[in-house]
Amino acid sequence: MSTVIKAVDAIDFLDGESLHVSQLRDRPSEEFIEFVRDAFPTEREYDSMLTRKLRRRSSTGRHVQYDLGEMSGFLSVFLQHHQGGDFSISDERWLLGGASKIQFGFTLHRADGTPTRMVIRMEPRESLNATSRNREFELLTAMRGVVPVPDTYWVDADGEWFPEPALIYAFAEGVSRPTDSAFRVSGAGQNFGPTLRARLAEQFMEHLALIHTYDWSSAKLPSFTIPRAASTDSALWQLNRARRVWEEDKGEDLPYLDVAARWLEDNLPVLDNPSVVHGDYRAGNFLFNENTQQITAWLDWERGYIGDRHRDLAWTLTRSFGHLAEDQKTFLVSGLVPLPDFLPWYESLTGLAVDHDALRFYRVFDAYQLVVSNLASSYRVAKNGRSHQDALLMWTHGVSSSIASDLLTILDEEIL
Amino acid sequence: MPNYPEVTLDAMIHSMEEVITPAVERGDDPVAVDHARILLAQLRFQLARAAHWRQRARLELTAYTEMAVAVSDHVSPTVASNLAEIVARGRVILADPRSDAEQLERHTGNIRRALSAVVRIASTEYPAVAHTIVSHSRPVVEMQRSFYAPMGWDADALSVRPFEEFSESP
Repeated sequence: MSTVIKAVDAIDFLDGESLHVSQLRDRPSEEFIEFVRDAFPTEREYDSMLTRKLRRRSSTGRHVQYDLGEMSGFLSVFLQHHQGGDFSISDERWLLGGASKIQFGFTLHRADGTPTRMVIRMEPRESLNATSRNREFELLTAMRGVVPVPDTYWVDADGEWFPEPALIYAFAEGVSRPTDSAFRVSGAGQNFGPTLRARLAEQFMEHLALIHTYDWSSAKLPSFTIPRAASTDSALWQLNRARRVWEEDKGEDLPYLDVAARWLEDNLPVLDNPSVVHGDYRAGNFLFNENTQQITAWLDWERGYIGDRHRDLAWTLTRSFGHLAEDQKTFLVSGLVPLPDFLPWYESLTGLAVDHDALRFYRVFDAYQLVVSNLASSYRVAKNGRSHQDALLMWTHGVSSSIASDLLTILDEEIL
Repeated sequence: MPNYPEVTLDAMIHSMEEVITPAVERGDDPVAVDHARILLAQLRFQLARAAHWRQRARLELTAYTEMAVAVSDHVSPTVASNLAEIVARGRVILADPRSDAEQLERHTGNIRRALSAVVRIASTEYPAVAHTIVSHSRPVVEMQRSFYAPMGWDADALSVRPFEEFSESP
């Protein structure tokens, strides 16, 4: 039994009263914050983001919905300081930005007359994912020329100029789903249809291979902590982050999730080759041109890190992100790639072998963190009215049982 | 007896379908359109499940009570005694026809809390405890998949049983 487990057990029985602990999570004390930091050491930047999340939970109220005029005002002041010279902005509008971040589109007209379409990606009061705008900015910048990503311009990492931390990047043309397709929240389970699917699948696999084989050693990634090769650092930091989030956000206990956590702690894989990990590699997070059928941009790098590529592979294999093909038999990974083809195709493109033990670890881990995100963080953020997407967060709550079923299937094989 | 909550939900759905969503879709705010669709979907789900919340709560409490009994076979007498107490309380709540969904859910939370603590502190008995927790979690998770199936999240919807098929095991 680890000291971490003992420690968590101790805090769960503060006063022996769940209401007390729930209130502690709504208004975290410094003692609670120091406890979770100490119990679950993780990457420096993640520690900083999670600590900031908890402190702000106590010091700031419900999410405030700014109007277009207010956002334009924040932007103008920011640009006066960072852009300088004569400029104007136009075409301000809200953009769809998934479950976690606010997106605001605009066109910047500089003195030389060149209009540039841009996007502000800003956090709400509390996001589904307490991630770093610095990291997202650095990773997007590093991946320029590797796979299609928007150009990056500025980052306001501490919310000095905008109401919350934000980054500004180029507007990317394209759609995340066929315009005539049925509405699917976040793109999960998106059906592209057989023709488009084949074109996108090829690029989907090629881009994944390019990300994982990219030599990041000369990239500027100061907000990332690099795990040691031939160690379990990468897996442990990820596990500790997810377990910390569970302890910070949960509204209920789930015994099978505690079994999963112990299994993960006992089966940490050794990292062979540190890679760039996208962190949310699936349909819904790329844009494509419907006419050329080319992927135009990979977005949502906020969960990215340097670590074990099997984390991306396992994530992409998540059943909730795919669906059955027209034959009602073949499972399509992320709605794109037939399951039997996925790993062999990846190995042939990258020249990297898939370690099936590591893949199994990350399949359990990814299911674990999806349950954490959809049951704990969604609940806590919406309960306190902290985001612009509280209604969506409570809708994603419903996916948890499907993911839990997958998690139990893997645990069945490992434990029973 | 009129079912006011269900009629209210149905009226809200009608308003969303006929008035609010079409008006929002004619506008130029994609975020508002997205929100309107989610609200409509959530209202439809709530209406579809309005009559089943208490049954769901009973099924969960029944399943976790059985899980606690099974775990008791593998833990120390002290822990088993504590679990026996919480199981007895669960059976009283289940037997009381006046128990509402909130009472059922609150006690389910107490049992889950106790079982999570057992998982965390178990040492030599851990393999048997883990085995029991995982095997007893399957039925309750499948029931939850069924309950949430109208949301359309499940990648293998054909394998999900209709919620009406779930009944409390003796």
